[in-house]
Amino acid sequence: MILEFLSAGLDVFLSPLALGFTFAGIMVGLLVGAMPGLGPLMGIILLLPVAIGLPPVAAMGFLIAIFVGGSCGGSVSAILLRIPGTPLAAATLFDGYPLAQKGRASDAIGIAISASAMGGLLGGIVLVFFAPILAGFAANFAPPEYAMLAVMGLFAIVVISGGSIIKGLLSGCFGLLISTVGTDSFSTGLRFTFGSHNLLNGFHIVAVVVGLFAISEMAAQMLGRDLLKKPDVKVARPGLNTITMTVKHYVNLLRSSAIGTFFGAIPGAGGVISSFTSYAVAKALAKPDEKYGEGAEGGVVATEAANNSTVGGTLVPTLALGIPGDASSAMLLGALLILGFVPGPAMFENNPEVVGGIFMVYLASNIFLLIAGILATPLFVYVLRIPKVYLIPSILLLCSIGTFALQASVFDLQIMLLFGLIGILFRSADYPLAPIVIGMILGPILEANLRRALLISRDGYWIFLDRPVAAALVVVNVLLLAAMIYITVQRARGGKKSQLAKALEATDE
Amino acid sequence: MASQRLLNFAAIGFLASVVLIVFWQIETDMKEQGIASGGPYDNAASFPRTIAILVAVLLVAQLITDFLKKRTDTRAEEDLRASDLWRGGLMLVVFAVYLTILTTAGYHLATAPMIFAIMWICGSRRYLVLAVSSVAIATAFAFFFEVFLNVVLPLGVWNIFIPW
Repeated sequence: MILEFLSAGLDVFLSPLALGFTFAGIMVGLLVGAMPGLGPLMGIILLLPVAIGLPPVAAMGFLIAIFVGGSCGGSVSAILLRIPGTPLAAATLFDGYPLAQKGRASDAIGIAISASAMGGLLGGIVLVFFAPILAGFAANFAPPEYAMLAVMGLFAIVVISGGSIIKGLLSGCFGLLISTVGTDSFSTGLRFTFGSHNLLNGFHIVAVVVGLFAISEMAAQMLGRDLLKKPDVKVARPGLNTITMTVKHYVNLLRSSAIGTFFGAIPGAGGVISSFTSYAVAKALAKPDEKYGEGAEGGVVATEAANNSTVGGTLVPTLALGIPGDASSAMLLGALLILGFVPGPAMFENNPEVVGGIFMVYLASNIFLLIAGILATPLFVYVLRIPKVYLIPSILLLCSIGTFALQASVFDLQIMLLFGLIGILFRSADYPLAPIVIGMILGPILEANLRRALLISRDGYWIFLDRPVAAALVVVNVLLLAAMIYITVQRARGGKKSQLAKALEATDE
Repeated sequence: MASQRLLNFAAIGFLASVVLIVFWQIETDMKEQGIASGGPYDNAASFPRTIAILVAVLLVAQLITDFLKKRTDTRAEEDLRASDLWRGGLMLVVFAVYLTILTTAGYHLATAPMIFAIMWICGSRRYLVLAVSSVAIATAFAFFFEVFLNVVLPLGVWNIFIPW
């Protein structure tokens, strides 16, 4: 079965367009990952309008490669500037920066890239083996199971996100409400369209997400006083011997990749938790002479292998169940929907070439990461020297043209600006933005399956307890709800925030 | 400068207005269409109504949490100057003006001034560099989107385009 997917995917993957865009995605991902304030999510959002004009596998190759490259790119600025390009690389600071201070910056970057690529490949193996199995298991799922899975996805994101649970739930519910705008697919009635034909199909997800994340991020960047600053960083290209240095830590590499993949597969957990956890485990199991925190190679291997293998893990529920693991995979899911594919068991059944193509581009992107990362490090370091005064207007322009290009619609631009203002308000009041995206993606899945479940039920809501898998998911949701209440009470009592909690909060910004 | 408390209340106010809009639309427009009641197939209002009720309950919980919190002024913690906020606000104004005039003036006339203005707001005062880089950035993006992605950028009332 797995070989069938891979062979079906190989045909579509081995096209110049798919290969070229996967490589381009890695380059873009490394660039956006290296630039503080951007990151893989922003890269996917900004380039989604470019991707949806491509054939499906090339488009997904481009976006998945941005995810892969972006998850690794943050380590460059973490190692050189002591500023993680993305919160994913926050744990890489602990040993990456001290390693650079010892004059081994290029070694640290080389190890980070090698560990990321190898961790990503191990995550890819899990993806290739487990996604079809999970999709096969989910093939028997009916509307009650899907409705409960959607609730679980939303709850998990809220529970694990770093900030206030109530604010997380409010953001998620706001996303669910946004998803109801437009024509109701059951009754064909119009909801919240206010007589505007532009809203008949609801808000375009790209316009909303670009506004929420990119516009509000640029406004936040404008508050800084380093807009004209040009960091003075120089580093030599890492040698190929950094691959050997990484392989020497093979136990750490395998363990951290397993941790990363595991956390990736749990909706909501994501790369930040996995990188901090694997760092903590690696440090706890290390010999005293390895001196974690003072420039240990193993520290960089642990965090980078974990955060990139998370990408493979997070694609498992995204592809097999249609439940995104985090905001970036929610955007990938959104891209698949725009391209005309509904992730889940049906896609494995009806479009094996797309599923196999996605497997192939994911595996290839990790190989490209190793090649491009090692060879082009001086380029990424050069990008760090570009002052924000040039980046901010360029990104705003990319937001505008990209959003306009979707449907040649000025209305989409207005929606982008409106959600930009909402994003600024939410950020300022510490409301996480990621649950809004997850809510928007899961909203139609939740509503449609909830209504279908009630339509086929003879006992109303009891249908959710009559079916064993649905009942098990109800129990999981109740446990998540209990966890939310517990966490809220614990946080209300106060207590110091850990570095992990701070990094988790940063992922939502 | 707005305190964190004020921003929290602004966000609560915004979400409360969303809840009100949901109920208002259900009671007016959706009732008129006959989709605000009935079984799971016909009742298109059921899901948004449930979510809106949930939001209302959560807003009350958030409001109570905010009131119970100690009154601490976070202004010093944020260390934001009025000039920083001015920069961010002005950028949004310039960007909003750009989006408003984009279809009238066209991409090629509107974009370079927008980039110039934002770079000026960022603090750059090297006018020649500003002019050259804003035209270069605008042209590079136009080339990429028009040539590689076949996007027709807004031409404006004067139908200005570059025949690449």
